[in-house]
Amino acid sequence: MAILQVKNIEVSYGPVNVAKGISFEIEEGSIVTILGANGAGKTTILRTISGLIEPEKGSVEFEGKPIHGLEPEEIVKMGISHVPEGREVFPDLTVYKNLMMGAFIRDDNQAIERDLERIYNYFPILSDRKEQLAFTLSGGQQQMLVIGRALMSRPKLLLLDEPSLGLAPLLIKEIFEIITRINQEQRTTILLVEQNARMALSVAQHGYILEMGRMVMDDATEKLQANEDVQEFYLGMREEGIRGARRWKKKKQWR
Amino acid sequence: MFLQIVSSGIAIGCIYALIALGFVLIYKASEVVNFAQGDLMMIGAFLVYSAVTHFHVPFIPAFLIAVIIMAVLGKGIDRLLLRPLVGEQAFALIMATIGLGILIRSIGGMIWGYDTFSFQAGITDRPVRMGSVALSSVHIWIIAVTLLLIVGLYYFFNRTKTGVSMEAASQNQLAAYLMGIGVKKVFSNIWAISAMVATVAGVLLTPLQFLNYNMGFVGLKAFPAAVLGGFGSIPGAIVGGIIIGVSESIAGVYLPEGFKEIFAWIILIGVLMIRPEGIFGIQERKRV
Repeated sequence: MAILQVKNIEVSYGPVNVAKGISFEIEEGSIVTILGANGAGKTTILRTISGLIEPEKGSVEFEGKPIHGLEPEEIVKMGISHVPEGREVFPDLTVYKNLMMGAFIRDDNQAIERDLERIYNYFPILSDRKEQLAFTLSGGQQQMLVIGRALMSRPKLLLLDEPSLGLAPLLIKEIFEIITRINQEQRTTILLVEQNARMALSVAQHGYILEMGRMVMDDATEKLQANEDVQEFYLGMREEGIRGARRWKKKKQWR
Repeated sequence: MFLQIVSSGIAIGCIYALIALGFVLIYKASEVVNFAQGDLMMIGAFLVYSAVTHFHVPFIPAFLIAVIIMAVLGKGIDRLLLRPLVGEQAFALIMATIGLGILIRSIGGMIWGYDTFSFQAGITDRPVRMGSVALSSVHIWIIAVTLLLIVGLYYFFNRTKTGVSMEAASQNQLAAYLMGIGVKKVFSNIWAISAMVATVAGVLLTPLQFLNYNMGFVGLKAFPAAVLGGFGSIPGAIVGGIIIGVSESIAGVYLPEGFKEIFAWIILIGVLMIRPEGIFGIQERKRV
């Protein structure tokens, strides 16, 4: 069953159309990724889902209920948690308080404590640093903090915007392993927006390709990984021509 | 003698600190500089005065009523004046609060007239002997109430969920939205708290100064205090207020006539030249 259905949303910032009728859906319990270059509209999609932006047209349905046009706080309460791009911590709060703010909408204190332990289990470094102010953490630790904080609301759907941005390869690997664990252990559905296509395709089951505000392709990730265009434009693999030269003006199939 | 000068400086400094605190709370949350803070203080003081002298309400209930009215007024200002201006240039917001200050002052004049009133606010001034020094009971009272209020606010913003969420919303609005914190409600509550703090400042000021529709100009002195502490820092506002108060009262005794009035401004200019981020100020942090 699809937990989230986005139908034909259109968003523009002033005269600039960034989402030109985007539709997609996410199966409950799965990891879905949206790949696309800078400015393709990936962040806009996530912001529309979490209620930061209202779409001009189209609808967003979560568990069968329309949520477009609701305030972000109502959407969080329904079970969608959005980790925005750029590690948006509360810089002058401690790691512990940052995490507790993730549970702002909840009052079940005992369950919150248990969830906190679980987050510390996923990210032991956060437990070591719990009394430190968030701005003193390194980039990777801040990324862990914002993911952990988002989990504190016990989301059914987790939206992750570029969790690998600006991190060292080893850290990226660690973060993706934890994303997979969260999906498997908590049955949290995850929508992952990434530029690191290789990583994203390796953890997700289904992928969408977004270009210039339109979904141009979608398939199971194994098929996408095998697709020539995806290989060339998103995975950076070279196709060796007969003469050993690369066609430098190649057109993408979907154009 | 010197200790008495210092204690009276600390007392007036506490008032500056409380008004500066009002500036800082609002600035931290919404980056609005509220130039009407001093005028809110005037309204708060007059409300207590009116309740006690015209309606014969005992002092404590009168004070509580005034605090509640001021909280509602603060929320109203946020809702009617500032929310429609969200996203406008800083200039527009500054003009709006300056205009608001003039408006409040004029309305205060219309309601209570342009005379000065003496109001003891339930405190009688008598000397309190502490060893060899005699301090004014009013000064001790002001310092104690300020201390209590600061401790209360510290507890609220650091230990309660609502308070921490307000602090969080001041630090990162986007993240606060995504945690499900009602950011608009937070701003409205910050205005309410600021107006309540202004009321306390107004009541504490009345034994030192006459009540007058113009008394909000004291708020201007709180501005150097906030800058000195590092605009946006709560401990900074308090330390800044006390430094301004003490140095002003020392200047009033040991320096030639007139220096008392300009001393706060000399400090302001000095701070801006030497350490523009203030004592507790934070230099802009770049997120990596």
